[in-house]
Amino acid sequence: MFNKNKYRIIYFLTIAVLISLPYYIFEGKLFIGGDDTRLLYVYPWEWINNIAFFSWFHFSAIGTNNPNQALLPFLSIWSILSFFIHSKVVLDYFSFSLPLIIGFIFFQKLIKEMIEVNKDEYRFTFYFGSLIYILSPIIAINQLSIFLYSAWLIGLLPIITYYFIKYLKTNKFIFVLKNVLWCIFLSFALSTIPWLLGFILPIIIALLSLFTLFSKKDHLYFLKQSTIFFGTTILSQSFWLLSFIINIFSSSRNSFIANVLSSQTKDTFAPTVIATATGNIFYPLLNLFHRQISFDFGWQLKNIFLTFYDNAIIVYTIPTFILFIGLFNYKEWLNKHERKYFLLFFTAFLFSLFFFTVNIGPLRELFIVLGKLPGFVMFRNFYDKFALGYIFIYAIILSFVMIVLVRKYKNKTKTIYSLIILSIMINFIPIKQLIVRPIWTTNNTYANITIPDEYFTFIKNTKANVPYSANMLSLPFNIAGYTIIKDSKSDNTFAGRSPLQLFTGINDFSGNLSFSANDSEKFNQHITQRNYIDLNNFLKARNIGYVFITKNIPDDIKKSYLFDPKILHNQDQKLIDAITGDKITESKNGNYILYKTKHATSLFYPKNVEFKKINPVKYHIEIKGLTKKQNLYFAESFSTGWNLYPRSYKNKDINPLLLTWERSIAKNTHTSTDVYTNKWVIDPEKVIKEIPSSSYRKNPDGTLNVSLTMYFKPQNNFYFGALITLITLLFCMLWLYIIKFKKNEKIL
Amino acid sequence: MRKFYNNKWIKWFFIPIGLFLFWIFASLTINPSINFSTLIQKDGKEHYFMFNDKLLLRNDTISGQFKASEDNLGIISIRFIPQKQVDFDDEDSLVFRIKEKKAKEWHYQGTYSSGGIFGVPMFPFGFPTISDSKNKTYIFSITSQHGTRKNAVKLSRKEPALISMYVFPKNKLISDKRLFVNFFYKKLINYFSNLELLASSTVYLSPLLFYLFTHLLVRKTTLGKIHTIPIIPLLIVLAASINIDLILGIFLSFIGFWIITVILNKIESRVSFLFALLFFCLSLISVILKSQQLGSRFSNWTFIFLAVGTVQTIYESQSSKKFISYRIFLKRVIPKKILSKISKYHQV
Repeated sequence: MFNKNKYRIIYFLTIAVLISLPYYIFEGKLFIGGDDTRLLYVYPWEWINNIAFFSWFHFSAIGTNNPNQALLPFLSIWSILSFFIHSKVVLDYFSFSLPLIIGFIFFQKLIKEMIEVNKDEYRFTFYFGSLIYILSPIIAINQLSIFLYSAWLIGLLPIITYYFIKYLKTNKFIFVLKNVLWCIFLSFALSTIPWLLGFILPIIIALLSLFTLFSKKDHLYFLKQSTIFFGTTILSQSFWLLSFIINIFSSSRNSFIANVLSSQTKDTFAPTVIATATGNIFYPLLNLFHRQISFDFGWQLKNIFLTFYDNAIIVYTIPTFILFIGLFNYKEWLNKHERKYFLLFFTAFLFSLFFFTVNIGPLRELFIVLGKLPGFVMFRNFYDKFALGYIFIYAIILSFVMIVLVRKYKNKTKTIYSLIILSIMINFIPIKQLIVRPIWTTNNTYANITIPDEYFTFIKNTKANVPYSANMLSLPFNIAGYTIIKDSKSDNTFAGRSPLQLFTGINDFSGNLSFSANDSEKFNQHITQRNYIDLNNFLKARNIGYVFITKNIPDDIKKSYLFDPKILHNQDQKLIDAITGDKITESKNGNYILYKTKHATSLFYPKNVEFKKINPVKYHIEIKGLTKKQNLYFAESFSTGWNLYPRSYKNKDINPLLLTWERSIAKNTHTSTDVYTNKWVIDPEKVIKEIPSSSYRKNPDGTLNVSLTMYFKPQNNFYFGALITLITLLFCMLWLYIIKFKKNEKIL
Repeated sequence: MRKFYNNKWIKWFFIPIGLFLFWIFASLTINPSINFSTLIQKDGKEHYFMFNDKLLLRNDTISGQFKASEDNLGIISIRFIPQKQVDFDDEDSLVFRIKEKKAKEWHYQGTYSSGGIFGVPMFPFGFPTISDSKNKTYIFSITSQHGTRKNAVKLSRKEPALISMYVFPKNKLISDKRLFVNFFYKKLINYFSNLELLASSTVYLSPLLFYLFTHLLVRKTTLGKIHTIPIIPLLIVLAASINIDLILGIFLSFIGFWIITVILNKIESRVSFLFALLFFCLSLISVILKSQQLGSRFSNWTFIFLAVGTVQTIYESQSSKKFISYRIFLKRVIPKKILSKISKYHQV
């Protein structure tokens, strides 16, 4: 229909449109907030320094063993990019467009790879297929509007599938290496395992269902190639995956994964599924998100259904009717290999449709039974976890049926394309309303903002006045662990995980999710009952030495789901007077105030312990004047990963990797006083016997000074994992070199 | 074996009777919602002292009384309105109490988390069995401890509002033949006079239905022939419009009938896809006519027919057999007059 040059122009114009899309949607304001805050795209270097590098993770919460290093490769490249792009908005918007652009490019490559004949004839079919995928309302509502790390799977899923098929067909190792490089760059997307499995699970079930279609030779070849391809990919992810796997099997109480897979999560699987499995397959078949869920839970999407989708429902049936026409004709119009791909993806499509919907009559009970499988609880929000995989598979199927239609109705290609363009365009119309929505349960408060200078100046003063090892309490305290930062010119607000840790390295507790469930209940009780004696003790035990007060939270937000009215009501001047001491600093317009708490706190105690925080996983400690057995307290959440090692007074520091083989001291005495604090018993007699003499000093009065390093040992899993990643990369390159060398030898 | 099977008595008496007895036996013994050794008695809203369907907030109490119809009273099930789920930590605690009307002290008192009520049509409050409960009047009460507008439960107006259950000790039933016969008789009446239980038992009825469908309807009459195939989707439409198509037994029966029809008539996958399309269109029409619920039911069948069609496709790709194509199927099913009109239209 069009020649190659015209296609290229349209192709690059589309990329330009995708780059400009966030400018249209967010109108020049930052798209930040939520659980992931998305601040990593705007402040990548700060994120590396204060959050991503360490296995002991604080992010407006108690510390947990939560390896976040999957972000490092991306953040490193993004930091370099930020060196050249100074505008935070441009950087933020580019991060929004990039997964869409990658998805757009690689989806076309993928479909092209699966088509056997006259590939160039169908380039517009590939093009439209990719647009159906990236501009799907399901992607907009499920991924783009919240833009968690999983949004990058929009680009990564086509990449992995494309390189895998390419490797299967050609047996060229270069495609394994290319896949490995992309996967390392976007490893944080791979770390969103439930969404990834939301695609892989239907594909695996489909492969097993089609087992009999292939010969034994095919099976063996497939197994061999899959093992090499995915084995190499998995090994290349060791820099975060090793810690992650060890974390799963860790018995430690404050392990992030242990919390996710806790019995409480398991117990809520069936009730959550029953509550949310109210949709049906009709709307997903139209490439729309479940209508009923949005009505049941009062989402903003409900209004878009009422005002737009419901009225344009006939246009939305175009892809579905195209699907059926394809189903009636694919046998005649796809060749043998193409048919196999089609059948594989169509079978996967049905499984995916079931997992994404669940509520298909009595089959819902089957899904609930699956909840008994280990780890399946991660799919309790099935409508979220399977959405991306579903639309990716659906778009592949639609691309195939478009090819069937174009082959069958050669003279009506323009009509077919016009209908498809119509269905894509109509998807595009409400995209702004889908993505920019008022914060949940607010009427008119949106989340895209420009962070005011007043906040930054205040944060700078805070950093200068508060020690690196302290914790803060943010008030008003909400139910989530969020900080509210109001835009300087409008009522728009940043509502997301508190960025204090990111900007200052100092942790704060800003909401109920900042604490463990028990602590959170205690805290609420103290506030409700105005029990300030216990509240002050509570703060002291958790090393909360400062109180950060925000005064300009809009009323709309205060009335939203983020605040419990009872708790908010009691967070008044009476509370502030009861828990605060001296005022440290106040922002220019008085919107932010920092106080000391009533009682001085310390990360380590008793008083004869001096310490220096080197980084979030390492502290230098000196216990002075030790005369008899004494307790050493460390006011951090308890984890067996914290270990004490002797530190020589002569040497400045010790290589953390060497600590892997070193025996920690007082290990047997490491316990927790409550959920929060770590406690060791230091015995001077044992100290003299067990640790080198360079690590202690005898004072003239007969007492002992001991020099120790406290180290969070699971951090080393990251270093070992990174080593495996490096070796894998080197091996891949070496292998390619050998293959090339052998080829050259043959030619000679 | 074939000779044995071809015996008329075996084929038309023993096997159907066997499957019928299987239905009765399995319904009574393998029911996830009620144990074999339990009898039930339904009661209405009038048994509450002051029935109201307002939220049960903190310190609010609902109470009522009923007369036990049997000995061994052990459970009272109460119908609540399904509430939205709240976090585990935010759930209400409900204190359940029960005693005989004349008694001074409560026979049992227990605390239940409101989270358990979520998603269960009737919530069972269990207590130590009262062996001599027959014809005595019992008072019960439920008090909320932390009920708020967010987590509170409320009674449903739907009948039966209250079910009392009588749990007979299994060893007594086994040892006392007279008691067993009496119990079994009551159990049968109890079971088959309860529409909900009967509906759930249809899953055990489906083998008998499949058997009769295959042997009586498909092989002995013209009902299994190609031109009568649309009867199955028609029955599904009928069942969906009176809300019974998703009862497990009926649901499985329809799927089974369709699979048997497909196998016996050797029709190709595209016929199943055709019916999937038909149900999709019905779903669309229902949605346009603002009947979301019916649209949802029809869309379930779109999925089922797509799934059956896909299994057929996988089989067809490996088989050298010839199948009746959807075009031939349409020719046989659609009256010739309509078909000629369609072909004329196509020629134009």
